[in-house]
Amino acid sequence: MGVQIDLIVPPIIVGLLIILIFRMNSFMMESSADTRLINDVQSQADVAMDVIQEEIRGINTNAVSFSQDTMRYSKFSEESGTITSRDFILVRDNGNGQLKLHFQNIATGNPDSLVYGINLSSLEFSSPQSHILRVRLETESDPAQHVRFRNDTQTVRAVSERDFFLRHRMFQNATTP
Amino acid sequence: MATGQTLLTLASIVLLGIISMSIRSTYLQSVNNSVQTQYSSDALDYGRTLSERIQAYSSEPSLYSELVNDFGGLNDETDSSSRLEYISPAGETLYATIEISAEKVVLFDQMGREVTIRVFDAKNENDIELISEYVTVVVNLFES
Repeated sequence: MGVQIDLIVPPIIVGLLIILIFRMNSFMMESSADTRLINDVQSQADVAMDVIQEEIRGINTNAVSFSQDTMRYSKFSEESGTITSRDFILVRDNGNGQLKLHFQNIATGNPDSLVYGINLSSLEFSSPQSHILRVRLETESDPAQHVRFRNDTQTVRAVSERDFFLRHRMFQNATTP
Repeated sequence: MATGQTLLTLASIVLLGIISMSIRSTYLQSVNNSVQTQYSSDALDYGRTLSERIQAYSSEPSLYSELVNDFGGLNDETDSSSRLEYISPAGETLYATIEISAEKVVLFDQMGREVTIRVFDAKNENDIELISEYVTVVVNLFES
C-alpha cells in the first residue's frame, strides 16, 4: 500500500502549530511570573534596608555590637517622662531567612519579637570606619515560587548595601566642648 | 511545487520568524527592565551612603574642618580625578559628584554647609546618566 503523504502531512503541521502556540503561552506566563517575582525580591531588599534604617534611628552608639548576621544594640526611649535605654537584637532567622527583631515588650515587660516576612539569604553588618555601620543584605526567591514549565530550579536574587552614620554620641559625651 | 505554493511557504516561515523574534525581544526587554531597577536601587543606596558619610563629619570638630579637604573639588562627573567612582553590589559602575556650599546659617541659627550629592549611572565614559540627587546639611555642632 502506498503511503498517502498528502493525508499525513497536514495533521502533523497542525500538531506542530498547536505545540508551538502552547509553548509560546507557557513561555509568556513564565516570563511574566518571573518578572513579577524579580520585582518583589528587589522591593523586599529595599524594604529590609528601610526597616533597618528606621531601627537604627535613636540608637546608642556606645552600646552596639554585631557579628555576621546579628546586631545587638540599645536605644533611648522616653517612658513616663524619663529617658531609659532599651536593648534590641536584630537578626536573620537561620531557620526561614526572615528578618527578626527581639526586644522587651513595654506593656508586659516580657521578651517579645517581631518578624518581617523578607526572604533574606544573607545579612551582614560591618563597620568600615568608626561611627559608620555598613549593612549588606541579599534577598532570594524560593524555587517553589517560580513557574516551572522547564523544570529549572534557579532562583532570583537582589542585593542592597548602605552605610549609616551612627548619631547620638552626645548622650554619652555630654561634656564634649 | 508551483511558484505560488513556494511563495506561500516562504511567507509563512517569515511570519513565524517575526512572531518568535517579537516574543524573544519582549522577554529581553523585561529582563533588561529588572536589571535596570536593581541598578537604580543601587544608585539610591550609594547616594544615601554618601549622605550618611558626609553627615558623619558633624561628629567631631576636627572632622568638620576636613570636610572640604576630603570632598571638595568633586564636581565634574566626566573627569576621573573630580568624581567618586564606585562599583555597586550588582556590578554597575556609579559616579558621584559632591557640591559643598560656603559656610552659612542653615538651621536654628546654626552654622553649617549645604551639600548636594549627585549619583550617575555610567554605562561607559560617553554614556553617563543622572540617577539621583540628594541634598543634605552638615552642621558644626561644636562651634563656640
